[in-house]
Amino acid sequence: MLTCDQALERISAQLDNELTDREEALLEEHLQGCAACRALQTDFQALHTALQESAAAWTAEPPAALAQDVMAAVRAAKVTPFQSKRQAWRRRSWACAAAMLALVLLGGGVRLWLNGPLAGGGMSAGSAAAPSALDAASGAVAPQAAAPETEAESRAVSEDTVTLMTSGSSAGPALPPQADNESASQESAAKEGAGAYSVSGGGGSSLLELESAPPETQSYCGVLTLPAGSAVDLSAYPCYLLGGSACYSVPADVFTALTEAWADADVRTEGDDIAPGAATGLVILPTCAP
Amino acid sequence: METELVLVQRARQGSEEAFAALVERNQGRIYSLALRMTGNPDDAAELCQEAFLNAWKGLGRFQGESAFSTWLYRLASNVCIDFLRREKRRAALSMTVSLDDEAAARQAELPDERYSPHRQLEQIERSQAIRDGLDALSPEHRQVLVLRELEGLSYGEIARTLGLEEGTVKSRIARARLALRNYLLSTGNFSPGLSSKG
Repeated sequence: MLTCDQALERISAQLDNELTDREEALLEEHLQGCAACRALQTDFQALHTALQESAAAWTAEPPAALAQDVMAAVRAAKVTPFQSKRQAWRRRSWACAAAMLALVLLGGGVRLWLNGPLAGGGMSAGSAAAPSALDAASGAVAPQAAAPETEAESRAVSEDTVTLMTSGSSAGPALPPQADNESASQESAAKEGAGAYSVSGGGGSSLLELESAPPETQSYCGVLTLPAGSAVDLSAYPCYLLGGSACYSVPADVFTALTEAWADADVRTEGDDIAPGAATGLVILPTCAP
Repeated sequence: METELVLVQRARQGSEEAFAALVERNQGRIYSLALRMTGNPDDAAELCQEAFLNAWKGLGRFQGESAFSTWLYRLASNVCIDFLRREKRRAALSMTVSLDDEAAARQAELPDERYSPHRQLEQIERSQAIRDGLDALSPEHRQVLVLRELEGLSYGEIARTLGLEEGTVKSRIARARLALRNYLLSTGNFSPGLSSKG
């Protein structure tokens, strides 16, 4: 027997033709005995109809000048798609994380993490093994395909450079699903993926491909690097491995609170990955949480 | 006529001309999405522009894991939701400042001339009521309803666009509909459960 709460979801799904026969039967059974849900179904049907009718009313051609305005902004940006990536990350020194990674690699060897093709919704699978990869000897895991292998010119190759490639994953892994606040899964699971991932060590700027970690099209309200060893519990948020560091994608208000609490931490609020009003911020903890 | 793939490759290498062609091809759909999300043509145009600019800057990251237009659509959806959340914060701030007891009481009493239990709303009034209802929802609820009902995306497509599990999408849509229904009931724009038209 369905509860009214369960019925609510099924009434809604029925409108969208997303109910299985079995669920439909269960729903009918509930509706026969529940007047409140029958009324709800009538209301939802009316809303559904009204919304569909409105769709036509809310269709319009874009203003004539839109394309021109876009291209004017594109020209004004004065960066090419690849140039902007390099500029953004040269402004920040990731020496801390890079140095840690170099130590780890030199000291403990590199463990590559190979994963099979990633299904769209199954990113939490395989994370059970992730804790073992988070010990001191773990290498950098490529969280998501960073850049095509052909873009070699954007990787600085020197004796300090380590290039980690995972192979075998077939093309086109789906983007990792953004952690959903309503789902309790993958709390501090690392997200693995296929792709090239390179780090240049030494004291200069490095090319850690941060954008290969969290969802690709996301902009952040800022990027915060906390001091090494800071004891902050971010286990409720999606965690990605970046070099030897854990980075967390947190809601903007959490990000703001952290920047205030850690006044002398490293905050980056400029660059092409930053949109001041974005809903999430990125927090980097140089020490991996087990 | 060049394929999207060729245009994207050229645009990635810096060809503004190729990108302009991509803009022309996609602006209708992206503008439509922004308009349905915000209900406002000026906001929609601005957000559309922001989405394309983000796409230009982010082209280096685009892997071809989906069609460019799909990637762009997802980007635009993010731009819209960020905007709605900012607006919501702004509105919440100004509301706490301006709403006093008297004004609140007045709002509750105001009879809605359009409401009559025995009369069906005219379509244009219904459309406006629905628009008001959508605007009153949380950004997340508005987003899923727009994508499902106005953009016609399936649960699976919505899940992929938003990076959510399908179960979450299903649940969120149900709650969004409930919120919309409750809002319309509270503003007197809805006859609860009386409509017998199937």
